[in-house]
Amino acid sequence: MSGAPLLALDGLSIAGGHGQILVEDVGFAINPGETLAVVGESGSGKTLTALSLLGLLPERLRVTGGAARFGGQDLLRLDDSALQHVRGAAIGMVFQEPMSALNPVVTIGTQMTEALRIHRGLGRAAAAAAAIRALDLVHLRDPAGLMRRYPHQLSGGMRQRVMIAGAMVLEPALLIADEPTTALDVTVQMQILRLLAEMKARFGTAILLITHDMGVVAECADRVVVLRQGRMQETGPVGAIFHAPRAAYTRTLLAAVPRPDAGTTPPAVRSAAAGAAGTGTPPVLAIERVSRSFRAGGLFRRKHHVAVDGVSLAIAAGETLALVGESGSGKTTLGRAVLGLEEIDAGRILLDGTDLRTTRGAARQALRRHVQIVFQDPYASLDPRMKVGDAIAEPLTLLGLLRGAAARARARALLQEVGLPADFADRYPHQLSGGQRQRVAIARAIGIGPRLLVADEPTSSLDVSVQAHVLDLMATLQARLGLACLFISHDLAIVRRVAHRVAVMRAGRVVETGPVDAVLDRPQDPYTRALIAAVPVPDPNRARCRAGGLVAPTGIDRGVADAAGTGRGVVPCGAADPAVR
Amino acid sequence: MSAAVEIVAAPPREAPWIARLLRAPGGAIGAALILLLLFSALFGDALVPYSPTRMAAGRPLLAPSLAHLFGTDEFGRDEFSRVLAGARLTLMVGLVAVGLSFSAGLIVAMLAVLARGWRGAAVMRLMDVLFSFTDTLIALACVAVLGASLQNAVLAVGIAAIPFYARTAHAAALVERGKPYCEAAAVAGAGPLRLALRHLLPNIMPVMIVVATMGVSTAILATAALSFLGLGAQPPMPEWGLMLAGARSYMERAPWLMLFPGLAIALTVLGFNLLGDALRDAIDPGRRGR
Amino acid sequence: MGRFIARRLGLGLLTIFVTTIAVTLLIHIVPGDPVRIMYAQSQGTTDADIAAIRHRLGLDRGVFVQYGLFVGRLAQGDLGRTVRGDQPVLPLILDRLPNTLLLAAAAMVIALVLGIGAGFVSAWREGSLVDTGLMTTAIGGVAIPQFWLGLMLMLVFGVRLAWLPVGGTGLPNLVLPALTLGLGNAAIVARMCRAAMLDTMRQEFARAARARGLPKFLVMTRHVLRPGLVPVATMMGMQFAYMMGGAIVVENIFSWNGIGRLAISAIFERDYPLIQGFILVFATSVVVVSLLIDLLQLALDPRLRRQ
Repeated sequence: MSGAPLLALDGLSIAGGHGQILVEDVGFAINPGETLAVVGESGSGKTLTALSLLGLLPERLRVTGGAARFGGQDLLRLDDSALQHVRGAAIGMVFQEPMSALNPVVTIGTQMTEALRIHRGLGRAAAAAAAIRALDLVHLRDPAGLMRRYPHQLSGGMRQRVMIAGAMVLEPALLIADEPTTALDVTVQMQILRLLAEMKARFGTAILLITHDMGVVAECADRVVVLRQGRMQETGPVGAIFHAPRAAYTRTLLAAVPRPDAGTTPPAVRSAAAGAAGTGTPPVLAIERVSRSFRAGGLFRRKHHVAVDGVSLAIAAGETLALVGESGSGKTTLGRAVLGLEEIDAGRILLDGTDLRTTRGAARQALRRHVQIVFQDPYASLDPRMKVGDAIAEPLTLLGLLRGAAARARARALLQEVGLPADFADRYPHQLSGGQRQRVAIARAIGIGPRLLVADEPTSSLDVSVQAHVLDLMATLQARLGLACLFISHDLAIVRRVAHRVAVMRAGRVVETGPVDAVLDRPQDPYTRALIAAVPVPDPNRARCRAGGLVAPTGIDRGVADAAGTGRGVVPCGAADPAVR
Repeated sequence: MSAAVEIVAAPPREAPWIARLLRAPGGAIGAALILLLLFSALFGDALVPYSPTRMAAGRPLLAPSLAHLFGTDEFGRDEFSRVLAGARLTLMVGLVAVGLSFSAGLIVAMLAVLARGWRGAAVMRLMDVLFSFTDTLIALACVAVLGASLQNAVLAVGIAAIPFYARTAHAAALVERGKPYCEAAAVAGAGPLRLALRHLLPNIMPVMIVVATMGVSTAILATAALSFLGLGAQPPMPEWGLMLAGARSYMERAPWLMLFPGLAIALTVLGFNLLGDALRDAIDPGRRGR
Repeated sequence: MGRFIARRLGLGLLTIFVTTIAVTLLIHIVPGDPVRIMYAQSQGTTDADIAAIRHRLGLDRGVFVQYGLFVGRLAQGDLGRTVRGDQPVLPLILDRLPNTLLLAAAAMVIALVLGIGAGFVSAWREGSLVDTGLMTTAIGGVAIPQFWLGLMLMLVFGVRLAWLPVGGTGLPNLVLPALTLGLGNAAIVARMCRAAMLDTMRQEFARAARARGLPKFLVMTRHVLRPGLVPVATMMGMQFAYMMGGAIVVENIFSWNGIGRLAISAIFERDYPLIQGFILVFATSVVVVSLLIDLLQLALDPRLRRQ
């Protein structure tokens, strides 16, 4: 690259309220029109770095050193009123949670126009016209009507488009995108990434992309900075980072990323399952034409929202069936129904050939013992007032398997079985990290010797490197105990890693089911194909969302075409979307 | 990064809540005020120079002096002795009234949680209705039925606050019951009763204790107001609200009679409020420093 | 929106229904003979008189019949006659109701203006001396008993400075009672408004508004105060009910001629028909005003307006 960089950050250090160092000596440069990805796990300081550029650090945090040269000024030295002229006008920002980044009580129109009126001094009508053009540019339909709407009337993807439109309306030279797709479904994520690439191509905007997802990095970034615990680990062009990583941490990070495309590493347990499937023994879990709908709406206009619609599935002992789908597909409802936490309207759920619904009392209690769960959020799935040991012992004593000292001893043994020290039994959940808590949840679930484990997105709230350990633990335990596992997930890469068979759900129905390799490599259903195509691939050579000269620009053209098609025409699950009515 | 790294890296332990509580200025002042009240309640009668009900301990309506620190009232009773003696009454009032409404409210809320379906809903709707009456109206109605005395006023104030505690406990319990750990316990075989007693109750207790601490203030204020109106404590009780009612007639001649009982109520209420605020901050780290 | 209104309306109607039942049962909970208690102070009431009164109040019949009679009379706007003075209850109360509503409304205005103002300034200058000063005052304000504040205001402005009348009913007479009732509630509103604004300031959309380059005043008003007012509005209905409750005490201090003064003397005289009428009218006014205030929420929070 020739010429001066757009932004040159040098030696940035940030300290917390008690003087602890959160970011230390971070520096990088962004050239005009390029995408720089700052990658790291939680606590790496990647978001703080971005916020410090706009002077938006949370109170009590302060910049203790460094310089950020941008347009002849040092951003870190500017006072708040000087920064006001930079924010929005020269540097725009898109946030992670489109649900919370828009003010719920103010119209989209006001939020779109206020920056125009402040920075450009435009009148009401001129600002509105410019805002409508910007909304049109991000492929939102009926932009004029949208101006009068409130954020809660929009879907997550639409809100993120509004955020991008709002950030681009003043055509800033730099756009900071802080985990812009983390909260979105995978198909929507791809649309948003393509939209960012399109904006970059159209306006020549440089993008500072903050993310934890190596797949997103490979899809979009030109250059990469890897952060860990506030320090730079490595920086370089995206190809070098992926193909010849220098820092050990980068290699760990890359190794931990499950690849959704290549089914090269079959899980260790797969062979075990194959044996059980063919022997003619009844499956551990059989779901037969199960339906569940919810009532919604007011007193007079009752609507039925069908969450699960005639689903049939079976899981054999030692087998993992992955239930895949985007939010609202009904996968979680189905999982809860299997656990007896949700009633079903029609169909049967058979556990070892016995119908859950027809059993009562003690027999139901006995059946219950055979189904256990690992929840998504390890922070909420353990009673905060109960010691870890007691939490693990609780199911044992409740089901009358063990009592008192024996139960406590078993709890300690189980802790060791999931790779934690036995003396964790005396700790409270808040004294544990997320990965540790998830291990405790697993210990608790397997303690009573269940036949079936329902795992509801068990790793989606964990960092990538921790994810891998927890998944390995689950696979090992499953093989040893011969557990059947219903693995609910939105993440195809993880599914590839742990599952034997996969069932793809959309709008309450199973659209495709089969062995994991067959479904992921040769999808038959168009929705499955779209889903797989949307998953970011951690391989920069196959990137589809990068604009500019580094990679052959096929990505842009497709990106524009796809975004235009989906953005204007189809909104996923359109009936449920208030903006489409 | 190996598994061992992940296992060792546990979040740091926090300082115990009592240390956090007393480190906050509000918490320390609140605790000091309540200790002062407690001290007066326990040892007040041993310390006071005169019996709080003894007439003509001095001449009537004396201004504050060394002999009578807070002056004397219209019957020549020593005001300092009376204010000190009022501490015990006030403390009893607050604790008994809150004890009543707290336990009754908690029981109602737990029953409503246990009785899923329309029964639980009906109980809570009734609590909503009673709550919207306001505690003042309920307390007045109770006094109207029971007659005016300090015991009845305390009972009335206690009854009047039941809907508040029931609603607070119920709302907190519903939040907890929606959390995955309760579902995990249900999947593990915990019945509704165990869920309520072993999981919900311990988890709503912190917030309920905060609410009850502030509730002592409300109960003390409400009872004092009833006494002030003549519907609570009856003469010659050294009750602060009643003393203010008496002082009203001598507003111009002896304004100090109005000053000290009012100040005593305000400081007591302030103590419980500050302690409640600090307790909430100490228990709920998310709100600390606000 | 329809659901929101329907729920509030339903709760209001339920409240009034429960009140009618409670009021009918009230007399029966009284330990002893309510009629004898009522007339204990008047000499020369014969047994025949008492039997007649009992019949007039319907106390000689079953509880269900009594309730039917009560509701039937209520439908005709008849709440019975007072024991003292033998006047019709409803006109007596309705005559004074506007005074109480005026007092509560004036106090509400004071509480909102002072409370939101102080809360806004405090949140804007969080951690500053101004913030500390305002919030310390507010903590004190919450702790001061209303009747004591009333007496002190009376002493200072009414007696010593003699700027304002200390009692009676009229516009200048309104100032002291309204202040008495409003100041403590202003402290509550201020604390609440500040907490809500600080919560909102930490929301991502407030940060997003700053990232757009808006000046701080615009961020604080449009993106912090407005969403912050939603929880304040949610509790305003309840706040008004407490104003009405507080008015009972304040009216008695300042001899303000509202229903609170009437109620206290009725309780002293055990005038049960008047007490019944008071409870019913009080509850009804609280329900109606709360409902009106709840509608305000619709204006503030578009999320409630969704179908």
